[in-house]
Amino acid sequence: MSRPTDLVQGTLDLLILKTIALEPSHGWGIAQRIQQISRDELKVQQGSLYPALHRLEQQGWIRADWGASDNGRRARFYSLTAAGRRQLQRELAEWDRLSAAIGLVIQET
Amino acid sequence: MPRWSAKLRLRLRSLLLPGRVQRELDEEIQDHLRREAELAGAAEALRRFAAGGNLDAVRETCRDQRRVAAVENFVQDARRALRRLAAAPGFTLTALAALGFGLAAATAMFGLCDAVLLRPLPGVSAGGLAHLERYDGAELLGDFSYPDYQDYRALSRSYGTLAAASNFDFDITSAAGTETVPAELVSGNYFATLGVGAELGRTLLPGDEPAGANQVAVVSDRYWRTRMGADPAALGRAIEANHTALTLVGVAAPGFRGSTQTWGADLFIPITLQPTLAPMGGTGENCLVSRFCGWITILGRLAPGIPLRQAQAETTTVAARIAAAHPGLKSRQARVVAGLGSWSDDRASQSRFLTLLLAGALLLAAMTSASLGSLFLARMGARQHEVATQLALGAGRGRVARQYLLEAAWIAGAGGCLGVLLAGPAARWLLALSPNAPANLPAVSTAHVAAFAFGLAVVCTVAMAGAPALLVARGGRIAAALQQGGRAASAARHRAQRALLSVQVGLALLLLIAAGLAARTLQAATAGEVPPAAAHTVLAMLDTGHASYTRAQSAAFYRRLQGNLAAQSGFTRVALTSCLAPAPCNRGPVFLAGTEPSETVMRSREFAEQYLRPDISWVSPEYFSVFDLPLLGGRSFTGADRSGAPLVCMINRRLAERLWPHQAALGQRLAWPQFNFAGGHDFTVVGIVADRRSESLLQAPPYAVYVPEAQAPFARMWVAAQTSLATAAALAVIRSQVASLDSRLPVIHGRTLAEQVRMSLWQPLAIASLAGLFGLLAAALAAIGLFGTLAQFVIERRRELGIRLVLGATPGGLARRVLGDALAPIGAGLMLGGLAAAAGARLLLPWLFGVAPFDPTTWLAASTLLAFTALAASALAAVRAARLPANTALRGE
Repeated sequence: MSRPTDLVQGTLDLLILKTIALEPSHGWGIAQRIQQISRDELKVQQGSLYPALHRLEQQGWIRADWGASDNGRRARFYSLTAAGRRQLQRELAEWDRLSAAIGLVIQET
Repeated sequence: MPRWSAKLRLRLRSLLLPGRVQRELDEEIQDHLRREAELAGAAEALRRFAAGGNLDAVRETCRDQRRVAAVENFVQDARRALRRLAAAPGFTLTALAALGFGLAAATAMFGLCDAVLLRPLPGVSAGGLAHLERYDGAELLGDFSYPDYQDYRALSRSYGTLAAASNFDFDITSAAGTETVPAELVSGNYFATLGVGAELGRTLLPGDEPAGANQVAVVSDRYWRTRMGADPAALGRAIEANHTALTLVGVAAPGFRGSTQTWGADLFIPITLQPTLAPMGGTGENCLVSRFCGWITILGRLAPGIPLRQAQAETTTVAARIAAAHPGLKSRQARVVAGLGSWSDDRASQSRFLTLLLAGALLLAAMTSASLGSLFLARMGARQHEVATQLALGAGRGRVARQYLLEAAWIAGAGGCLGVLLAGPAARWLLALSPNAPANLPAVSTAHVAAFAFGLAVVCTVAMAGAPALLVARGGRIAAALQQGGRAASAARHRAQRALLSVQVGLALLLLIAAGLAARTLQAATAGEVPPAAAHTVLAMLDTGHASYTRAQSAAFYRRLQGNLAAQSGFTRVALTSCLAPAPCNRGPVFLAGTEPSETVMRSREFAEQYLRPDISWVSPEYFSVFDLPLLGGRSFTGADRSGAPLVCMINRRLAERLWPHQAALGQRLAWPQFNFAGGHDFTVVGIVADRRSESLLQAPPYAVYVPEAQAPFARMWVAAQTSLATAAALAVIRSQVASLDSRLPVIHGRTLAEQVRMSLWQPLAIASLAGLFGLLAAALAAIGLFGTLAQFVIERRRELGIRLVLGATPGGLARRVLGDALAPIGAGLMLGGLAAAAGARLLLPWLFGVAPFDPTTWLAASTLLAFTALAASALAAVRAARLPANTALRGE
């Protein structure tokens, strides 16, 4: 994802929420996992990742806690809050609706 | 954690610890970069990092996500306002001093009102307390009798308990000497009713009330600390009160000083000791039995769940039952009043007085705000180009308007802080000035005072900067403002400035008129009433009852004391009197000899209304010369008018005219049936003296009868000595002379006659000094406001004035033109103030004497003083206009 703004607005939020819903992770871990699962199709740069994490945290959807990471240094681990879990459901539903709508348009033409 | 609190926590963290939040973000990004480097090599990591934007941009984007920009802008604006104020130190310091004083005065007054009128007495738990008042129709009568109290206690169900209390002075004799201590005689349930515990030992209990078991006492914490050295071993020791030994059983909880605001008791003694400790002035009546002794305040706490209305209904019934059982009594009704209090507290009068002072201080604060408001508008005039530029560059009108409010808020906030800091000391200072200040007040409450001060500061902020802020927010077109230097927008501002000037002048006039009326009252109240030697007349009160003298012993004692004192060097004349203003005099019913009714009739309910009750004073022959009371006819007393000689009296002119309107009073006989000393009760009138206002210098003179102290010895007397010594030295001589005659007798009060007069005139004196101070300050502030505004007008009109000069106008003409600008607002202000004073002067009536609320001299003097000050300030500004050189004026644009 070299130019994330090209993505549909809010998609990065959805990806982050979905990623840490499986397991709390630090910023780099989130970027890595999105890249792996998308088979290197989506690459999240720190220039978009950290503002997005900041925004989600300010919205109260995720929370950050300092913890020790695998390399022995301390890192901020992000996890979903209860409100974040509800938000993820909303965004997933929204995504389904949107992609279905886009699919319909594409198949028609 | 709920979502909103998590959000709040994050916002606060971003605001309060911005550096730490930034460092954490940096650490996170560094960690990210390091991991990429480990995975893909340093060069690739740097390339990827650069592709994501530079570090500063990431930081900035993150900062935007934190959503605290509004607050940060606010902080920025507040800082800018502070810098702006610092750049104009003259304006800022003037504003701070003026508003600080206004707010401090208002806050101190509020603190006093709060302590005196609103907050519970120290140490007493407040809820549900009430006291009773007795009435005959609408007339409020004095205290209750003890049998009345017993009836109310036995017959009432609405109160958890009903307690009795009565204030007395007692002489406490210890190794250190004899000291007069304020005390309260109380019922056994008194402490339980008030919810006051003991700090040490126990409080008084119902078991302490029955005669025989009642020789006990409780002292206040203050007394225990100051007089007993906080010694726990003091418990169980004997206290000698009025020469009766009592056992100290406890120390009351800290702070508690009785149930009366004016008194401040240090000693609490069972009420049933009254006949032993405080026999009532020679009437011989046992006040535990008689319904004719009124000496008790009844206090109670309403039983849980009983509303005041229900208690009132029951008390009405009980009062009616008591009245039916004792038809001779005057009291018919009783009223339940919420809160503690007693007949002697006279809260209504205090409340009126304090509210008046508070209103005066609030007027000053309003006046200060108006004056600063006009200065703000003038500054706005000086800044209009800057403001127009800001607006043109896209600053929101709201944000620009906010700058004015923030500047005012800094000043008002600082003033508010000053108010809170000064409120306590100022309230204490005012209380110390008052000779009869309440002794038992709670400390000024910082929380209440702070709430008031900052509430007032908000109001002042709006009053000061509201007009400029509104003008900016509503303002005209920006381009026009820029082009014309804001002249188009000025009209509205000038209107606001003129209105504020009028308000200032009006408020200043109001304060000055109040001050003038109070000053005239002082003049009228003391004219001819205060002996010229008042400052050199020393007064000392003695009470031979304290040593249980018989009347003959008492007479002998005072005779010897008077002789000894007159022989001291520095003492010229020494007089004795039983009555001295402002304390109320003894009053008795008098009749033309032979017309006096029987005792039963005299005690009947209708009695008081029907018969004349003049003030009766027991005096020595020297009284009339020491107090400078002129003899109008007949003779004064002489040494021959003593015990055994025919009874004689002197009366004042008013009484003579009332009793013998059509014939000479001299030689007539006056009957005073309550006189029960010796040789009947008919007195021959031997002299007539001038009228003198006694109890209050603010009321018409009472009817007065003077009887020779030698013929009717009285226990409690004032010694009045004219002396050339300093007050303290003279009092020391009196003390040592008293002690050499009887060391058991304390000197109860010692002061000069001048001080005594000040006591009775304290309220108008306070009004005159405070209103005078506030009024002069207000006049000065109005002058500053006028000068500041007009000076700004001159600068704004420089171009116009310059053109006029070039066209041949004289400098004098320019000055007149500027002065003309000031006349309308000054005139309107005087009119406004006059109208407000006309409406408000009636409120001053209770404190006025010998002067009408619309006293023309006062009104004229106040308006002249103010008009002169205002015109002088305007003239200063006008002179500036006259000095304007034509070429500078034109170049200025």
